[in-house]
Amino acid sequence: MKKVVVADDSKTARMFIVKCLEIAGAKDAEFVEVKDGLEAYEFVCNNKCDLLVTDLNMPKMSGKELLEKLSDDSTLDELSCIVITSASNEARDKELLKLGADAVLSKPISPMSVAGIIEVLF
Amino acid sequence: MVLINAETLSTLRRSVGFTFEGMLFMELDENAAELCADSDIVWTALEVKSPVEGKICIAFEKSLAIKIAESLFVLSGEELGDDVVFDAVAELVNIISGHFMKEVLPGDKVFELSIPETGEGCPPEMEEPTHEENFSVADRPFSLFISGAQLM
Repeated sequence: MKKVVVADDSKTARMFIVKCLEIAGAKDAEFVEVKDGLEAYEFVCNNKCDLLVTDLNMPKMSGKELLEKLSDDSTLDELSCIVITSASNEARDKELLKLGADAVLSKPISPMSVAGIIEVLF
Repeated sequence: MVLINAETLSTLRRSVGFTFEGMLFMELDENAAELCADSDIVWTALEVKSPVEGKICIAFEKSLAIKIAESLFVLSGEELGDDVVFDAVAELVNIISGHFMKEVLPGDKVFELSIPETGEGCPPEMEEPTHEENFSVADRPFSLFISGAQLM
């Protein structure tokens, strides 16, 4: 079973992301919801995960700081990472992809917008 | 109150409509009456921190805020509780603001928004110049306030 970590300080966003991923084909995945980047970092360091889906604007540790921490840790090289944010645009997306994100999506996402990613991963 | 640039206003309306339709499948009415000051109000405000400065706040009738949360979570208001209702409107305003900023700024400029703040009662004071725009969905009104000369 694939393990997916969803990091967002909004419960609504986490619920929406999980629902979209499930509809898009990740029905059998195990979802772990966390509220900030620090919690996400601690979880992926201590548990084998397949996908990290993260927001950008979060308390304690932002999504950008989280990506920086992940790229500094070679043990997490195989972890796929998608950023889902309301603050996405061309410049931001470039910056995040350079930091190691596999994809950047604008909120609100839809099952269709995540389907391609799920197809590759699952 | 000031006159907002017509193109900015059109982008703002589009961002609100896009978010309500995309997330909630709710059709937006752009010709709504002002939110009644006596109603129970839930508001969410966030700051645009860079590359321009401003603030966006949306005040909802509480019954609409509950309806939004109910639609998103497919649960009744009693099952949800105020914290989830506040969280749902905060996320909605976050997405509207992000969509708006993406549309009004050139693509080569990274923008920063604050984490939304939510409360009940009178919305927070906005610095002048401020523009107010009234909408409704499902016959329930809500008001959007935008401040910051660079945003207009």
